[in-house]
Amino acid sequence: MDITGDTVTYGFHGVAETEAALLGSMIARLARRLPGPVTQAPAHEAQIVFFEGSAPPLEGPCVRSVRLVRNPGTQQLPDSLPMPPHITNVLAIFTDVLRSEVHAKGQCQVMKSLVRALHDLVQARGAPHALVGKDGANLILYPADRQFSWSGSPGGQPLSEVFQSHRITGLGLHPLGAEGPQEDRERRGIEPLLWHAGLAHARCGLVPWVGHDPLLKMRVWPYLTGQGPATATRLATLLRARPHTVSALADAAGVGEVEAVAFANAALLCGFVTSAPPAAGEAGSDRPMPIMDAAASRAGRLPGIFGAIRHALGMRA
Amino acid sequence: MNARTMPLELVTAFDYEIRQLHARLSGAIGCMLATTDGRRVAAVVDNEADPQRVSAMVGSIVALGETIGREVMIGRTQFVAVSAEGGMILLQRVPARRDLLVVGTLARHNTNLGILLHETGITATAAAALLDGWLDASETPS
Amino acid sequence: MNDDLKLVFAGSMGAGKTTAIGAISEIAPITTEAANTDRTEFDKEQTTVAMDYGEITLATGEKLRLYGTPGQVRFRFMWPILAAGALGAVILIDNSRPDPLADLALYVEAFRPLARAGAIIVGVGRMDRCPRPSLEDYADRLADLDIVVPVMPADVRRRDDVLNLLEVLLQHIEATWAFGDDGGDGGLSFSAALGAGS
Repeated sequence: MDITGDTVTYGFHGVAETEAALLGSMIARLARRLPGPVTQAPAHEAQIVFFEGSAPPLEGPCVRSVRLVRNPGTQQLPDSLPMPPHITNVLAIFTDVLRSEVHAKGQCQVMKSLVRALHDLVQARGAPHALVGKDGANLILYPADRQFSWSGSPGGQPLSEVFQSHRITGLGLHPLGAEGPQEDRERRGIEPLLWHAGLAHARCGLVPWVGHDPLLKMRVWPYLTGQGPATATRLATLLRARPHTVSALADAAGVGEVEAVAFANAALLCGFVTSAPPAAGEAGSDRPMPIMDAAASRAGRLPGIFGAIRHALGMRA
Repeated sequence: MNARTMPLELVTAFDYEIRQLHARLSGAIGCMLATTDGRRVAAVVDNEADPQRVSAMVGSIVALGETIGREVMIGRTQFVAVSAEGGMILLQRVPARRDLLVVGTLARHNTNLGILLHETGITATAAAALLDGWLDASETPS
Repeated sequence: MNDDLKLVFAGSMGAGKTTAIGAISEIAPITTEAANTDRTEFDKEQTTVAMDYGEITLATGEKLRLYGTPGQVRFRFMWPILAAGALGAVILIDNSRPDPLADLALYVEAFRPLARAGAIIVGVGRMDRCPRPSLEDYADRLADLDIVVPVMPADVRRRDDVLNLLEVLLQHIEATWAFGDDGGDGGLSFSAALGAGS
């Protein structure tokens, strides 16, 4: 799902049919007064989910879950909707979500253009550029040397904060002017910077130059997996074993697609991973050689062995 | 001890002892002296065997023999013998103050094992005397 | 396949193979050490000349056997002997040595069948004291060798670091198996792949 899409979706989870129908018809009547289009979707795909308190937790791309509340004493809780619903309450919920989505979409436009500019600059091994933020903290990029220097850490602002959402709209990439490179600052390899830019881009989807859900193939081991996301090593081992699309990788690793997108973006930006249209390569065509007898695998012995080894060494499964 | 800095006179003396062993033993195919960590010190080999490579194997096999001896609690290993279709090899530590050297003797299969042991032992003892003498000299303040 | 489960610790002299096995073995490691007669190569009293051995008992009753190889190139004949039938290998590189990337190439080439099978991991030690070459340099060198395997820093004196290496190695092997050919013909034992020679 693209959370920056134009349409906001809503769904119901564990809500009685009559109440869902009531809310549905109210939302339909309100649609003309909302700042953007609204449509109903299954709860596991919806951005706004109305739910009953007793309903089991739901996994999905939900950005706002709204509890239906019947106790008048709890009506002031945020993200709750007193029942029966009032038009003003429902209108406020949708307006708020739509506004935040519009804001996120605007940020994503900035993010996409910034990451593309970074990528193009590094690929072209161009002249030094400055990445300047509103607060004055700045990075100097030396694309030809694949290096950067900056006024942040060690001891100060961590690199992971450079691309945080509240700063992103103020960031600009400019050719280094007459002030020249600040040679007194320590230069570092550019990969960690690109890695964090890729991670930050995850909320806006895949990096823009690779197309829709391309086939990813590992070229170099992504040695920065320790910098996130938490499942990066698992994603990397799976991708090393066989080319995957991002969605297939997320499925294989059993992680959310946003995490797989974050890893893919970071690895693509650093050049650890290459992309091709899904039809260009047969997944598994570069299949590595198994090392033990196929009979062992057929017998289903290996999963048990790995579990037993982890258990014996006190590792988390 | 540093095998690379072993004085030339000592290496020459070891080489002499190894050549003597090879000459004394009619069934000998090759004789060598190696460090316990697998470096060649002196060797006379009649066949195609590579003394450098064999020296490394000698170090490994003697260490394995001694490890097995400890593991099964039969005490310190005296020698390790390998008998094959085309011959046999006997590996014996040099009984110096420090366990630094091993003598290896490769002989034809019809060689008497007792004689092989005896002759190899003589060379090991001679090498031990040379090594101890050198160690004494190196440790004595000048 | 027999019931032996084997992991191999390989790599340069002084990289910490014996220490790594000692960090996780449930028995006191069995070692085959001899006096080190060349302090110019690495300044330590003793060096492994045949193998190190440790073991871990699994809940299934099986033993996970841990073998350490001797590091010096002259003991290369031992490497395929010890690696035959191994589940995987940890290659330890000492970043304080004169040319760690040459060491990497040497050991990865020697264990190439396991590497191609997705069953090795490279642990780089002493990066705190010697940050160059960087992990990026290692990853690039591996790519030059047409091998993509995990590479990560590790201080094998710390048990957690050894476990971390093994965890990633296990994930790596699992991932390979998850997408490997389970049809029978695709299976290839490491001993067959490596052959008898070194």
